[in-house]
Amino acid sequence: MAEQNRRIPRANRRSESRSAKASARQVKREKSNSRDSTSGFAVYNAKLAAYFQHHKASASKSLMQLVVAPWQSFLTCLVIAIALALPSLLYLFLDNVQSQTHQWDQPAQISVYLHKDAKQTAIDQLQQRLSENAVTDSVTFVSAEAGLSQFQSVSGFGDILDSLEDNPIPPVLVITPNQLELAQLEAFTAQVRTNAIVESVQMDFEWLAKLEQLIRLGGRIVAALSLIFGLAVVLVIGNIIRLAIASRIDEIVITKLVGGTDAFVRRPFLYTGMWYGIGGGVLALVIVVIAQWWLSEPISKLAQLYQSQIDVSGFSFSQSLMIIASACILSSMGAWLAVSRHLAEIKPE
Amino acid sequence: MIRFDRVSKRYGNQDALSELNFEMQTGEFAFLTGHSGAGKSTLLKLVMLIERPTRGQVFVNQLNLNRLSDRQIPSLRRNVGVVFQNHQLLNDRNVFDNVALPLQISGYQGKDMGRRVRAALDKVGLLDKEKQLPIALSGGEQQRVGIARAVVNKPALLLADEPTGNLDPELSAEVMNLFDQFNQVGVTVLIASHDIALIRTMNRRVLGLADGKLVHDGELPSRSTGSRNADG
Repeated sequence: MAEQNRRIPRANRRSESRSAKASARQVKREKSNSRDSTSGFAVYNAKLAAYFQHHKASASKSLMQLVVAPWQSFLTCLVIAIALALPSLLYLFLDNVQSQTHQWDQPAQISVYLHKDAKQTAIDQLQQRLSENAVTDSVTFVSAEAGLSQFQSVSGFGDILDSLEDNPIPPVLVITPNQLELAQLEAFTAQVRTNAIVESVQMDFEWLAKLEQLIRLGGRIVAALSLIFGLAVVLVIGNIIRLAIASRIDEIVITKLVGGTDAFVRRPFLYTGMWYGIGGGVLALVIVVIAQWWLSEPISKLAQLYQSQIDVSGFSFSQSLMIIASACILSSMGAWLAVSRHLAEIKPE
Repeated sequence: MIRFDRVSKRYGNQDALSELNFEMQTGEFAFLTGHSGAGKSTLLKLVMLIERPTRGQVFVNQLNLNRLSDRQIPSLRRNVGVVFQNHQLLNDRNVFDNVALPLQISGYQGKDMGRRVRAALDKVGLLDKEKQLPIALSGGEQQRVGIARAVVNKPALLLADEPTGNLDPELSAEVMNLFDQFNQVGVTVLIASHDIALIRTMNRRVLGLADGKLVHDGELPSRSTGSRNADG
């Protein structure tokens, strides 16, 4: 297009009729160019260069507009950040709970506590029988001594246990079932309970199954909250861009009058939305990091009380990028909505 | 360059233009005159597709404007320079940036753009004011910035809506002189104005509108009765 325009003035100087023909051709050519961009490589390249140039200019100009009004921009970004930080923090919380439970995990086990004076041959027989049952995956024997030392190492009651004369821990058969069908497993445990050397049977995965369900519910809540707060971001940015459009109506009208396309007018506003999103995303991460730092001390104190260690994990690099990207996408969407709704209404009169 | 073929434009139940026929050759210079409400502005709006006719066809550069879609309007406007009565300048940008706007839209950049902007400013005699904001300029200077912006893209057609409406006679004559210069290098010029005294000094074709109809076409006679005729 620039090429064509460069040709017109020369024609102008040469002769009147020629210039008219040239510009007639120009309008027609532009018309066809808008449909078929392959006509003429030079024209196409110049057009493409101009296109990218305007993207660059729009991006830097809209960024500058945010920078010259820092307080206003900061508040807008903060709104986005809070809206994103809330579901993010909840997600992190769930993620940490889940990874903690996986650490404790011998996920689904049935402990068969045996009489202390049960004979080893009887125990071997029982183990053999149980492992042949259809619902068991594996059956391991933990002797009273092994059980004691295990308990000492994880419970934190080591000193007290040392002071005991008798080993209070019974021998145990630990069964890993190959399924988690509660009804079937209950029938199985009832049957095991009838055995003479069995003192009691405990299914210790019931609470785990409940916790899993709770976490799953939490996940749903995070998803719902993300959706709601994401919508809030779209609406907030939509409104802000609407105001920006209203305050720059003159500029829009004049740009349209001198031949600016809708895309040309739209571009700076879309970039404004994008910048708000990036700013909001970064600020959301800052909030998350602060919250994490603020909570890490009481959490590690709590862990000490249980003689354990909890490493609170934050967002990974790619997760952080995801948060910024989603902030960026959401607020660009808001900007797009505002622009497509309101720009078409503005027409020169 | 411009051809109106039985063009009518209706707002509500009021005819702004009715059954208008006229043609302007390439390189012509014409005035459009008539009372306010006679349809001058409507006619200009039809040429730059701010409005579309209710009936009839408008041709610009042999292009039937009825056939242009809304998406193609910007490319038409880029080839028509327009000067507005109220200047339509951006007050938060300096003179240079105001004049550069059409070039930015067309994708010019850097030195190429600067060269063209300064050439246009030079023509209207404002080369030394490029850094100033429009608000700091006089009315006549602001109008000349508007003219520079209208011609910076080297359009083949230049429209002006009451370009001297707010100017004293001396400045008006200067502005008209500018239009005359552009016409001499081949630009087709159409100026809407009700300043009969000024029009009379120019000795150019005059299209007189009254109630949306063409009531006069041709040069104004120098007698004062002629002006009443043109006023409709």
